[in-house]
Amino acid sequence: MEWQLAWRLFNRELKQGQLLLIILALTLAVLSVTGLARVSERLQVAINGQAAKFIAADRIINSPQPLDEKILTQSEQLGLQLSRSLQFNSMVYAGEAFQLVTVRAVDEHYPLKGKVELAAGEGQILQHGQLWYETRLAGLLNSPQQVELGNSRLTMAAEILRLPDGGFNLFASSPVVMMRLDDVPATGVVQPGSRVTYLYQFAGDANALTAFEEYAKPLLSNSQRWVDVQSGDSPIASAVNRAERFLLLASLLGIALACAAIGIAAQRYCQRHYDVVAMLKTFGASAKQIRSLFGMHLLLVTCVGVVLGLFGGFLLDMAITPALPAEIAAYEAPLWRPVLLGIATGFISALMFSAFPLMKLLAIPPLRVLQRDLETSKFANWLHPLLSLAAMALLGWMYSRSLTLTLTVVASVVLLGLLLVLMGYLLIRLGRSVGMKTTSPVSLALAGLRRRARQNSIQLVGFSSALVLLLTILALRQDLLNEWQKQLPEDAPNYFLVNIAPEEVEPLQAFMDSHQIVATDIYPVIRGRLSAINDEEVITREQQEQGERGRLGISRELNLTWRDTLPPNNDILEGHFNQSADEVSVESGVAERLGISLGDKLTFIIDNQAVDVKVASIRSVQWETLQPNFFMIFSKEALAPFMFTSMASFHLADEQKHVVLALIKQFPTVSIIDIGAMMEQLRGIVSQVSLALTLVLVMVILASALVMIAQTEAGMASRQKELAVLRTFGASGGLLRWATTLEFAILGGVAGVLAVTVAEFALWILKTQIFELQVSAHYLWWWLAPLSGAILVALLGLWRCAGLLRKSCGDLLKLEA
Amino acid sequence: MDVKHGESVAILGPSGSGKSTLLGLLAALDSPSEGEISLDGVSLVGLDEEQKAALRKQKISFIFQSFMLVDTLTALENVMLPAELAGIKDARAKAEQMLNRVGLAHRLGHLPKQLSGGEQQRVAIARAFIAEPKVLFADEPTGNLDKHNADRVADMLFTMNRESATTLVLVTHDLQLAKRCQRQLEMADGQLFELAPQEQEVS
Repeated sequence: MEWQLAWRLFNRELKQGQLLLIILALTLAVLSVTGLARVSERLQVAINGQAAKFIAADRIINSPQPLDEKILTQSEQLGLQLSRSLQFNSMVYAGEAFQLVTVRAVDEHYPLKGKVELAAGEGQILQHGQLWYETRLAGLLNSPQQVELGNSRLTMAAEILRLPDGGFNLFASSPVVMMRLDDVPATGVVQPGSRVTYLYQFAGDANALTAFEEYAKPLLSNSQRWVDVQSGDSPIASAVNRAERFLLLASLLGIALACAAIGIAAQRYCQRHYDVVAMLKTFGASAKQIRSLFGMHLLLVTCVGVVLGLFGGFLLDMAITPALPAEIAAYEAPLWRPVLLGIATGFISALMFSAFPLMKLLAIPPLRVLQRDLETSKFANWLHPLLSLAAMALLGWMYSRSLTLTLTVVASVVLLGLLLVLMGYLLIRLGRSVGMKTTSPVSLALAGLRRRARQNSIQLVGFSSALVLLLTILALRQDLLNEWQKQLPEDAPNYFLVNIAPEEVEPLQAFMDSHQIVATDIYPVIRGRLSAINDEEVITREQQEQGERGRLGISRELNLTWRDTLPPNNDILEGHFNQSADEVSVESGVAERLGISLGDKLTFIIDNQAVDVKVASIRSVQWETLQPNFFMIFSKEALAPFMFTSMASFHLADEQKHVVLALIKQFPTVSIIDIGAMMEQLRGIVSQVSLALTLVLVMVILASALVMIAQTEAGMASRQKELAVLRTFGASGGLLRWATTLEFAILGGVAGVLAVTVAEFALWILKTQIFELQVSAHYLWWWLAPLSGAILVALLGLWRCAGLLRKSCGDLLKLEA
Repeated sequence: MDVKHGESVAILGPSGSGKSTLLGLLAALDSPSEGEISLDGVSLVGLDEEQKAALRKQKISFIFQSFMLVDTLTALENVMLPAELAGIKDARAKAEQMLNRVGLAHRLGHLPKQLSGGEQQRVAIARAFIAEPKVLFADEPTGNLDKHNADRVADMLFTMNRESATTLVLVTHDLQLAKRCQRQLEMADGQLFELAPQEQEVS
């Protein structure tokens, strides 16, 4: 019976448009969650896929000794591909010439991801007795046919332009050569006790990788290192991380807003059914009957919202995919997470946001049929915000899987809510002294505002939170896009030069000048390890995670440099830059991570010698600039005793490619790294992320509009009563229209002022704490937001009231009855 | 006060005299803080909400001044409601028959807002009788209607009441309407007086 009745009620209300608002709100929430999750999922897969090429695999285990076979067996059982390789330093000889090289001995499966780029083109297979070599080795050894490595003679078979996982060796001082793993024993170079690194590279599907990580990670010893895509030193990481954080935050805020719309719509939905419930109870419906009737009714509403939302999300995805860069669109992300998230969002928000209004609805006393104003006072009103916040937190956590971010958003929402209620109430109270004359629209509007002070202050919350989010997202999006544009100008460096010998610096500078290439300054590079802070030995993060006590350090060697002047894109945050021989300038991020402050004593091991320096300044660095950037900058005197090479970066247009060949010829020992491809990739990601940001913006605008419409809807009943009375006492249609417009305009204006205040505050926090962006005030906003708020809300109000304003006095009174 | 089976009683009185409160108590919508009420041999004192609802479902029906129709359901569906709640079979056929009796056979698929006030109250009358109640409570049933419609609705109400031998308790301001009941009671300052025929003439 209830099912039939619920269906009938639902069917009729749907056809008469009564459920439009709540279904729209639900659809929007589901659509945006599904759509955004799909986009960010795809982005994630694409980024990981691209980045995997940088480590030539999905996961790597680095170990100084062979890995326990049972770990490898497990990887096999999970269906993962495995490539084994060995890395060690050794001398190669060609006649009189000799050179220290880094040997990569690989098996036939290498590389699992990406490919080895050879000068002679693709399709070659590394044969027994062959050695593939980095260009500059040929230069250093005078281009021999064969070289000796230990007891073996190997043929110099192919010139390597790029190794997929060469990124790690960007600054390695020795050239890289590649040979077959099964040729290694014959060389006799690797003996028990030799310093070698065993590399185990894995690739496979995400589930198997996760399972393998869970299995293998705990079994690794202190000296073994787990490497995944994120831990790679990809220069893309910082830009993408920031974009992802933004996307996440914006989506969370958008979801919060869509939830608010659902909340308001649910409240309206329940209020509209008060009389129906009272009537049903009067005719003897039991609590159980009413519970199941409205439970099923709401379920139907939710199902429609969810289905429409999923469908919309699907359409959105279809519309966006062709707009993506081809290499990103090619990645097919799994569908289940966005779909499940969308469904869960629909049901959780419908359930939790309407729980309280529904409880109130079900408890409506039947006596309401006789005493029309009767409502339930059984439940404490704080329960509603509490349930709503819980729902928001749950959804936020499900979506972001980050507790911190979720709690931040929830806490801000609470704070904003309290602030807005207080300010709105105060502002409206200020209008108290104005008298009520029915001749002037201004005094009528003010009187209206005052009479509805309580309801208005709640409406203000709705209007201004919508505006706050709109402004915040708008500003952040613009700032991020500008920032990226700034970092990725068309002439951003696309070549890096490393391993420049000291005596080559001046000829190289001359070469650049003669070819009119604008390069960055040439920076000396010295490899060194941070060993102690304030005489306290440092340990690695892995050691710390395994419970060892001690001060956190950096587990790898650092590139150190010296310089007299502050490099471009660096800003001094503390101290002074002119460091003397026993001073150093430290990058702010690393200083924060390691807890280093001004005046601390740092000990570096360079060439087996300890160098003690004091921290003279803390610097911020824009890592995305693709310029040579350094954690530690010394004075020249401090590093003068050590061997160094130099590096620089420059931009070369495509049509100038021949210059590179000339450069290789003239400076055969200098390594040239072409990062053009990487830049293209970075641009692709940025354009995709901008698209996602626009999407979020559109979603926030839609959600804001819904919240506003829902809010004006909420005040309709009392407004109608008032209009009827004023009409009866002879107020003209024009006067009433003006008064209504003004009342909404004042509300909108006040909401605008509140919104700018809060948005500026929120932006300040977000920019300084999360996005590391420059804070700037938006002067334009201070008059634009109140003005557009006033116009927007007035138009909305007029639109919603148009029907009422057109009605004659008699009609209004009849409606009233 | 005692109301016998099949009797029709009008309760008169000025606004705020407590008529509606009394109606709420008699119809098991509210619970008395003291005193005793029993309906068809069942004491209403001490019943919880569920028991009162069950009692209303079996024995009681209502007509309201503001009609209280579900504005999204058609006339037919509104009439079906109490029958469906009570689990009566072929509620639809019965509802059609009831609407036919109140002269609205041609308006089955109309929504309340497409009906005049008089027609809406006739739908409410059909709804009130569909579950064959023992007692019908009417709260100002003609209060929102013009004279012509009020008379028509009243005629219909009393005719159907007589035909189904239902007990009628009617709260009203309207002396003319009250006179059509077998007994008239007046509420003043929370006190209830039985009006003699002469007093009625005077007032």
